[in-house]
Amino acid sequence: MPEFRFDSFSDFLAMGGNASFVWGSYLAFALVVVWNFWQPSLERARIVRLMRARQGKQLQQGATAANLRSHQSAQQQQGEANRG
Amino acid sequence: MWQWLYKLGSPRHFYEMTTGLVPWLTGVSLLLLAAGVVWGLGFAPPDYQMGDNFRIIYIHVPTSMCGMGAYVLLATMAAMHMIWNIKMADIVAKVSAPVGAAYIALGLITGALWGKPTWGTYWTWDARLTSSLILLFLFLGVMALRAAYDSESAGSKAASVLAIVGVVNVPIIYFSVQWWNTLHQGTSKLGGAGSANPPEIWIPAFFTGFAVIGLFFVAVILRSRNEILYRERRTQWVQDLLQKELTHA
Repeated sequence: MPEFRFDSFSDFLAMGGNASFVWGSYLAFALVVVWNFWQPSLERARIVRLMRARQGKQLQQGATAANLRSHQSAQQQQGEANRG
Repeated sequence: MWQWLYKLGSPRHFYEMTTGLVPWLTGVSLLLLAAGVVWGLGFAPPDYQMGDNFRIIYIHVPTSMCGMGAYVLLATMAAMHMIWNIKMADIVAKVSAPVGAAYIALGLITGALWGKPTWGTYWTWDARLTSSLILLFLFLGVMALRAAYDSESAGSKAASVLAIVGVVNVPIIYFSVQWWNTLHQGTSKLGGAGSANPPEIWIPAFFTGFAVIGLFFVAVILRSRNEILYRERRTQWVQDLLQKELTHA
C-alpha cells in the first residue's frame, strides 16, 4: 500500500518549494477539463434556443396559413351554397 | 463490425449510439482521474533529482501525447471526409481541432512550468518544444481556415487539406528527441520490465493517461452531438427529439 509522502497538509501544499509550478500545472488542466464540459452545454442550450425560436415562428406561420385555408374553404362553401 | 462502423458514419446513429455512452465514459474517466491525481500528487515517491516537480508528469505526458493523437484523428477524419465524403468524419474533424489544440497547449504550458525549476527556463527553441508549438499553430490554422469560408463545404475541404498535410509534423515531434540533440529528455520506459520506475510511480500515470484520453473523447462526442443537432436541425428526427425534450423539461 503506498504511503502519503508529506508530513503535513501544509507540506503537501508547499510541494517542496515548487507549489506554483506543480499546482499551476494541475490548475491549467482543471480549467481545460471544466471548459470541455461547459462549452458543449452552453452550445447545446444555444442550439435548443435557436430551434425553439424557429419552431415558434413556424407555428405562427402555420397558424396563419391554416386560418387562411379555413377562411377560403368557408368562402368556397358559401359560394357553392349561393350557387345551389 | 462493419455494419456497426457503417452506422457510426450516419449522424443520426452516432447521436443515438452515444447518448448512453457519454455518462459512462465521463464517470469512468473522472474516477480514474481522481485516483491518478490523488496518487500522483500525494502518494507517488518524489523523484530523487527533481523532488516534487516531477509530479507534473502526470498531466504533461498524457496531455501532450493526447494532443498528438488528436491531430492524427483530425487528419484521419479529414482524409475520410475527402475520400468517401462521410458527413460524420467531417463533423469529428471539425470538433476535434479545438479540443486537440487545448490539449497540446496544456502540454506546452505544463512543460514550461516544469522547465523553469528543472532547466532554469520556461522556454527554449529545442526541437521537441518547437515542433509541439507548430502543432498548436496547425490546430489553430485548421480552425481558422474552416472559419474563413462562407460556404461550409468549401471551408471543410480547405481545412481537410491543411489537416492532412500537417500530419507530417506528428512523427517529427515524436522522433525529435532522437534525431536532434535536445534539451528535452528522450522517451523513458514508464513501467514494466526494463523500467527503473516502481509501480507506485507508473500506476498513477496509467490512471491519468486513460482519464485524459477518456475525457478527450467525451469532449469530442459532446461537441459532435451539438454539431449534429445544428446541421440536421431541419430533419424530422431532430425536431421530434427537441419536442420530446421540451415536453419533459
